Amino acid sequence: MDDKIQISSELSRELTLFQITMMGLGMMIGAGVFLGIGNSIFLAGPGGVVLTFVLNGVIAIMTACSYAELSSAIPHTGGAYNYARVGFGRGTSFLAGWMEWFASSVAGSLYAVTFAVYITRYFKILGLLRWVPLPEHFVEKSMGVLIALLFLYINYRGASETGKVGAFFTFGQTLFLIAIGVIGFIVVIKDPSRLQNFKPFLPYGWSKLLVTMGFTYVAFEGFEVIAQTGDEAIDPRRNLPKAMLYSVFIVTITYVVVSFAAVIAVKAGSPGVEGAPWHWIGQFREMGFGEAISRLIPMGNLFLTLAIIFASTSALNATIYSATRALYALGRDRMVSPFFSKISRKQKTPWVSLLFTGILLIVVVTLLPTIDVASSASMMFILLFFLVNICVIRVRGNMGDELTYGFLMPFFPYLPIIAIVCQAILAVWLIHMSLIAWIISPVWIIAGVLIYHFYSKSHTVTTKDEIHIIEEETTPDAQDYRVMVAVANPQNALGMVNTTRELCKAKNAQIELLHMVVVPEQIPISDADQYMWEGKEAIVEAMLYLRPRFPISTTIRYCRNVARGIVASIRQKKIDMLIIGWHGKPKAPAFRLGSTVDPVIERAPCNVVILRDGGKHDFKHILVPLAGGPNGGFALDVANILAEKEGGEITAFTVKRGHDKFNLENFVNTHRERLKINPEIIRIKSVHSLSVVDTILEESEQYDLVVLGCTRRPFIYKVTHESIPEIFARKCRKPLIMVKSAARIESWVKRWI
Amino acid sequence: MEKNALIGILLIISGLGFITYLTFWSRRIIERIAKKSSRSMREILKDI
Repeated sequence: MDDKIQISSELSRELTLFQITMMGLGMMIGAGVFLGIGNSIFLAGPGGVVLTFVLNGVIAIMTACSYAELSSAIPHTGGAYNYARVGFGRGTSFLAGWMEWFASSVAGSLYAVTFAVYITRYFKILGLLRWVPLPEHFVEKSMGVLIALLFLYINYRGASETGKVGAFFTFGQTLFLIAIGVIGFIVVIKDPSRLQNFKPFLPYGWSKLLVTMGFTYVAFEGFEVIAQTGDEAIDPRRNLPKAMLYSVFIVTITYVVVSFAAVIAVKAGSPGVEGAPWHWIGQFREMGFGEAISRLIPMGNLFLTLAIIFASTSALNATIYSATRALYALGRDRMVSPFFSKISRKQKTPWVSLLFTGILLIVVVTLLPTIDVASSASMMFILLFFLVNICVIRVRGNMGDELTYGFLMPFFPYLPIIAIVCQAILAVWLIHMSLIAWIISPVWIIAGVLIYHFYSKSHTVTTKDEIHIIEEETTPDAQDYRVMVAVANPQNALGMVNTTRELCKAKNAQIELLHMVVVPEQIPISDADQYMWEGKEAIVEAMLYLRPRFPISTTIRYCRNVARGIVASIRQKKIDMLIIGWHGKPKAPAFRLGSTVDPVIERAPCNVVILRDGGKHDFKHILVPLAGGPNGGFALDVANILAEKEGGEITAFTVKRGHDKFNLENFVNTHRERLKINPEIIRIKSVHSLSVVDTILEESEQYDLVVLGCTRRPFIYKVTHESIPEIFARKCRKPLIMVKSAARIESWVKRWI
Repeated sequence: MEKNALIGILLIISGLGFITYLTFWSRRIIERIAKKSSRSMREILKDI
């Protein structure tokens, strides 16, 4: 019996779906709607304000889907910083954390400013400002700094609001805003003439809409705080995605009804209202919403000020918490100096991170005008969400088979791509709203890149998901064409030697021998070398046969997943062709060929040659089944290389099912000329049959080798449909080579993402 | 009714419809995945 008692600790999971949804809502309904409505009416007109929130909601729900999918697969505290680390590695992850810190801090400044603007306005209404011998602008700024200092202190004391109380306040704010919307609708039913306030619908045209969408986008940034609750939420794989989607749904509906109510709140020609009501509201800019609502409901100013106090302070608290946590995480992982991860002995809070967050927040409150604060926060969140949308594509592509998902978004990858495009447009259009935001954001990102390059890169600690080189032996680049041979064990290496030799000779290639060591999750990276001996043997075996003729480099790598490790190595070493062995049958039913081969075929940005018993024989008669697919030409190329030089023969074979338009002769002639295949060794054979697989199987009995192109269908099609090459491959008992050629553009995109 | 208003109202209705559809479709999928115990992307896609 083990005499050591192991004690593991983790955060208690107490946050319910309702509480985390409210946390997201609380962060969203912080300021954007209160400051944004008046400004949006001013810039885009009465219809523009409603459209602004609907269209932003559409972009936000697409990004929410990306966040939801990632949070269901990586349900841990850290948000975008974590996703980027899993999807892209340290560099991008640092940048995500760096942007997150800035975005949250500036969003905090915006909430402090919102609080200040509306409190000052209420004091002015009550006549209290008469007693203060200072300019109104100065009072506003001072209020902003004071409220920021108060919440920095509260965060230092560790007295963050509990989930229940926070949820209660947010629920109250949301109900209040929905009530405003309902009152608006009742008013319109009683007095339909107020709908005339929407004329003209878009007085300044559609382009202004992009400006207002850009700077109010900050009102949809609540997913980040929901993602941060990964370690504390109950059933996170189920509840995090739901909370993200629900919060966007609720907030969009709320914003739409509230902006509608704001437009119809003022009756044309009523006392004090000059010109069109929307114009009158717009002239108050960020306070326009308050002026409108005070005319819609009795004691509107009081209720509105109370709602704004609750909304902005709870959002301020959440953003300070979120920003501090982001900077603390960077310090903890040595991405920035560990000084930032210092924790107060007395209060148990990360005081250094909090101090620097406070400095940034107060500088922004003091120096920047409200519009620039809102625009800067929006800009940074847009860029952060941009990154998360790329991340979801990358993570599904690279680690989809390793992660356990609780949610998969529909219309993948179109939703994140559309979101990326829309966010790029909004970011560009923000230049019309705030030049300062456009200067600050790139400067901040460039500063981040420099810090990473000169500090973080050499100091950061490694994580368990990264792929490491355990042992590497390189030779100087001798040839342009690089062939990677992935060897699993000595038997597998021997089986591939002959074919590899022939292919490399034909391509005049340099060889990269690669062995991936799979180390179980429970074993630390430092102990990985105990798993590498079989791979070392395999590499030595292959080198015995290949080294005399080709320049060879060898690499042994540690990874958690073989396919991901191979694809990462291909990208890193800029490989042109991969040769990999296949045992012949998938072990898991979800895979067509195997859990390693399937993802490698889908993701490898190079030519792929898969061998099954392909290295042991001399090939006199080679069968190449063709159907006009893009891999057929490469199959003919490989068959031509492997066919015995004396007496070797290739048969290009197709099965016609009656309606097929594929012309085998034309296809072969085109490729024969391109590949310089001797016309005497190639013959053409067509057969009419309804059962393609059985006919090819029957034909293959007369040959030494079958060379077959893989399916090039979209991933979703391949998962949901069985394709002929893969069915044939599983049933075929002859030596088999499957090939996939790299389409140039596709490979370039795959290398990049 | 002016042309911009007509297009605008259509955009508002379709935008809200899209958000509602996506939210409730996603909810259904989350429940479905949860019932069958969470698995890899390939298995889920094959299933749905």
